[in-house]
Amino acid sequence: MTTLTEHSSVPGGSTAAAAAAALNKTYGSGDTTVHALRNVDVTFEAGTFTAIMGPSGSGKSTLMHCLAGLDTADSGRIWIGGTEITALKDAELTRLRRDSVGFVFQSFNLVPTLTAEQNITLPVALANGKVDRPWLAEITDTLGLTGRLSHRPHELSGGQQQRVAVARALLTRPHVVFGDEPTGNLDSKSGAEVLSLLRRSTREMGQSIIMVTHDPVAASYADRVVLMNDGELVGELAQPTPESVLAALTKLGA
Amino acid sequence: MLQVALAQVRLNARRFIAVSLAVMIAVGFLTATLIINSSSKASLTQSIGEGFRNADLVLTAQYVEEDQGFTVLDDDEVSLVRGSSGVAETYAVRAAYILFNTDGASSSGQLTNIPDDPSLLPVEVQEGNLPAGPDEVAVDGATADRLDLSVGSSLGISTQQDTAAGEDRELVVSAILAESRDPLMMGAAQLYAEDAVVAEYADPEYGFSSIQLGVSDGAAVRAVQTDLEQAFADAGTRGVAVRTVEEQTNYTVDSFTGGSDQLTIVLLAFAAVALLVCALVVSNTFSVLVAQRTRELALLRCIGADRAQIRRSVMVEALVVGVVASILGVGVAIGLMSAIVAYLRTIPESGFATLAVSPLAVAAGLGVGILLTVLSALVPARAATAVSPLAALRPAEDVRAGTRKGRARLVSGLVLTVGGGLLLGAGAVSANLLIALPGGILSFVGILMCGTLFIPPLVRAVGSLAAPLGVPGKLAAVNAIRNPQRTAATSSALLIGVTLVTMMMTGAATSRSAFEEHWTRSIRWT
Repeated sequence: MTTLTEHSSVPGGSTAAAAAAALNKTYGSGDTTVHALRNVDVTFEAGTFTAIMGPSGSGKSTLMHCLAGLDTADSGRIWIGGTEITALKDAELTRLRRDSVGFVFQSFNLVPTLTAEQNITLPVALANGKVDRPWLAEITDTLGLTGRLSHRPHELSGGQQQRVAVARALLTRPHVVFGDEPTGNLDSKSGAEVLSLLRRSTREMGQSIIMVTHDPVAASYADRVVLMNDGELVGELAQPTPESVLAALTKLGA
Repeated sequence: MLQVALAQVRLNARRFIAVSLAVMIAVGFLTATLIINSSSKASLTQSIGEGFRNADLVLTAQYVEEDQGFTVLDDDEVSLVRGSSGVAETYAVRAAYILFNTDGASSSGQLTNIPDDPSLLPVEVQEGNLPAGPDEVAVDGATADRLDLSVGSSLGISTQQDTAAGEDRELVVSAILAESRDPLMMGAAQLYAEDAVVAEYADPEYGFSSIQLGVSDGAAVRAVQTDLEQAFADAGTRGVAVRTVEEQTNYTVDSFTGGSDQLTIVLLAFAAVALLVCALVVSNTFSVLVAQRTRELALLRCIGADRAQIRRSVMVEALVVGVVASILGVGVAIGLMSAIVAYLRTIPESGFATLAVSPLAVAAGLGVGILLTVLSALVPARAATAVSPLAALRPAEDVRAGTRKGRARLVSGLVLTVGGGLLLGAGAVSANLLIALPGGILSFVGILMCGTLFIPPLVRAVGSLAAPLGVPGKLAAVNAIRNPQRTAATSSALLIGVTLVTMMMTGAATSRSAFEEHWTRSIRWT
């Protein structure tokens, strides 16, 4: 059933896919200062699919950027898969992104000059590693891409492009996959396809996923919804449904 | 990343056309200049060397200060040479300018004596036998064709004075010889006869024009050379130069080409300008390419490409473009020069032209072209690494000029402008191109680097003129300077082009008026 619990903070722990403690971040200066994150404490369990939701300007994207090592927080600590990343230098962060983190953006996920297969194996190629061929075959089969591997992104539909991005994110078996509104540009059918594939990867492969979204329907595919408002964590939902999510969001606005 | 870079070049090939053209032209210019230099030297060396190509050592008369004149090579010198150890064959060359008549047509030519030993004769016999008596003469093939002569034809020899007296010496053609490519002999008919005959027409005060000799088997050319020099010194004879064929050829070529090195320097100066412009075009193009690919670069950084990989990717693109364009540029230069030389050979006066593609020309063209392209892409490559992964998720922010990097650029730009300007002034005052050219290059690069200082204010001033056009005018004026960096970068491309065109046209007009002034002045004296 749906329950609204108080936000809990259990930082660290080697079982967590990602965690943050006392995170603070501000943008701008003087009159235009924006407190994007205020003292945020949050933990994401391994093997779970979590959605971060909130109105515009709530800081959900900023939280994800900091968790993924794309942006630096002003203060606080961040962990990915048990490793603290707060003090890592650029080169180490890059390696972390390459080996332990996957990304799916809303759009422009793929390198336009490479084929789908080359795009999927790109992180491995960047690491000068060897591609796990059976695993690649399994992923592309599950995502229904087997016939499209030699096509370039402009020859694929929006839904197929997002599935290629998901395949790329899953290939390296990262600690966590971050999604920034992955279905924002898709029609409801393609969107549903991508979301159910994400859920399947969590259920069947144990992949941890953290997704930022403003769409209640998308959030309902997750195991847990974390709510943010004005840079703060204001609530949580377990086993969300579109209705319970909508209700929680409306309450935020009130 | 290699994959990404190569895919970029392959799929977006059209974007690299302009850059490749720039590199091709600059490299082609440089290579062509070097080929011109080596070819003209080779052409002259080959043709001048024809005059003594079968000899080992050549003796010529030099100018002697104390005697205020040239030494005369005569029989004394010849016997000294003949008596020297290690000397096998000797050929004292005597020549005279004569007129000769064939079937009523009168032509002028040079009559040279044949050596005692035919192996020293510098031209080959094509038909017949060398003159064996005082009534025989050999003629070169071109003249024979022109005047319809063959073995057995007869012609009458005379000098200016003799013609009046109507006395012609009748000679029979005994051989047709290959035409010598010696530029001193080309154009005129080349006839050979026995020494006794030539001596009748040669100026006795002039002596022999040279003494050629072959060394005996087993003797070292250098040793014979030193011995002869010693012998002449012992005999108290000054002004006789003993040189190997190579030394003599180089000596003569140098006296001919004193001016052609100047030409090479001027051409290389133009090549340097072309290379500078090429570097600016490459740098500009890659900056634009990197700016256009901000999101893609950010995406790659997100997925885990580190800065070095990004930089390497841009450099690989530059390397590919550099290699392909440089090879094409060298090829075009060689092709063009081959065509020019082929054309020159059809003209009799320049028939001695040869194409000499020195390894330096090819190596310099390829090396400079590739190095230039890669180095010019260094700055854009570094800019590419500055793209943050976040740019994949939200639009990139403009770099403000107040940043440390912007200020460093301005300071270096000012230093280059002032320093380069001083060099330019010094070079102009002392009329020295080698000082002025680097000064010009440095000051121009400095001005480009300081572009953000003076271009936006100028554009703003011009923009205010658009105000009368109403709202579009005002919008245009404001947009033009919205991003000072971008305005400066765009204007730089135009600045380079206009500067180059103005410089060339001013140079052309100045040389033309200077030449005209010199011409009219010299006309007035004649």
